[in-house]
Amino acid sequence: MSNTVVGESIVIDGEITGDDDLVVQGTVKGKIHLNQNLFVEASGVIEAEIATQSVDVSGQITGNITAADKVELKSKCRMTGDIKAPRILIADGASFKGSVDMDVD
Amino acid sequence: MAEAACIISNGIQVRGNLSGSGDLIVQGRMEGKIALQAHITVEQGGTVVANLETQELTVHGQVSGNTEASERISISNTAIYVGDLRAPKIVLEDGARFRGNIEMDVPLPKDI
Amino acid sequence: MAETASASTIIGPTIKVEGKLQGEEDLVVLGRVEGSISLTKTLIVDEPGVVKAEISVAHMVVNGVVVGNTTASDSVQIAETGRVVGDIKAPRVIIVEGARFRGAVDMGELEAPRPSASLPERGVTHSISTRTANVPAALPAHRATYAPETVRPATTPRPSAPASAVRSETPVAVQGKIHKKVVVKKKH
Repeated sequence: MSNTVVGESIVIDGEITGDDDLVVQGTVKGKIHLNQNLFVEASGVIEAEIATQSVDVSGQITGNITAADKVELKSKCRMTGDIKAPRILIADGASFKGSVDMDVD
Repeated sequence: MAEAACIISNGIQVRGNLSGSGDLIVQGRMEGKIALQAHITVEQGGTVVANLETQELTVHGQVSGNTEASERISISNTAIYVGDLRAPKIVLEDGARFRGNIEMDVPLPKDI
Repeated sequence: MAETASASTIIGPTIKVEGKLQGEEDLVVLGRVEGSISLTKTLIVDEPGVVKAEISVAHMVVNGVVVGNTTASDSVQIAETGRVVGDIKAPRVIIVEGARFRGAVDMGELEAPRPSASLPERGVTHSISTRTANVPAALPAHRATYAPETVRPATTPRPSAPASAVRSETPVAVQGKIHKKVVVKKKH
């Protein structure tokens, strides 16, 4: 399982697609479409439309998420946008503003 | 390498057309046009101001001009080359000074 | 997970990034990047990576495929499995045995040997033609100094040489024509 890591000083403005897990420590603006999992670390900033298997957020997301599996908003994260996923976890301390739809079929 | 058929040693200058099928070593100065189906070596201290048509070219000295080689071109780290290069294999060493176009066959993936 | 301390960015083999990528760290591309890449450090395109972009970096090492123009402040190296189509502008460019490249290479100002025809007609002709040598014994102070019998190394071009810096030795007899020795002074 290879890992794609977008480092902290990196800014990507565009579309990311693929079949790998993606770890974002930097900034991504645009679109993220993966068949695997997205991990947004504490320094990560995402302004994008996200469609992945799952999303694990410790950083910042502005945009809508559609996940086939689950979305986990960790403590200290900041999310603004709608989440559509069959399983959602929002930890104590997470900051979230948006709507949640767990009825994914 | 075959014994050089022609050596332009460092006190010699030649201006004109040079053609043939033996190896050439330039330690002096050659100006004009060279069409040689063999190996041309421009040694450190050698200067060539010419278009070259050859099998193989090795440059340690200075060349101004375009080269077309049927086999290989090698520009070493003491060389200065200004002009175009065309060959199936081209090598540019670290430290070589070069300006011009380089043309090799580049196979690219179909989805490029 | 990866630590945040200056880890380099890796774009995995199945990942495709379409757009602009900028950063202040090293970047290794194993997947596909289309658009533009701008880094203050090193871009490494490893097999099976494909980059189709305008590139502006400090260093670039290509083991995969790059299509696009590159400007590097330091060096560009096309390694054995590397294939590059596009122009390269960098002070150091290395193309190793086996690499494939097509494009222009610009290393900046180079002191290139010039044809001696551009010299003034004051007889510094080294032609083996049948023209009689009308070479005056002393020449005006416009040209590089000729040191008879010494070889000037090709690696030290004269920076201040005017339009036709002929790095030649004392003309000698070719084909039986004797040319007089000419001595010229360096122009300041």
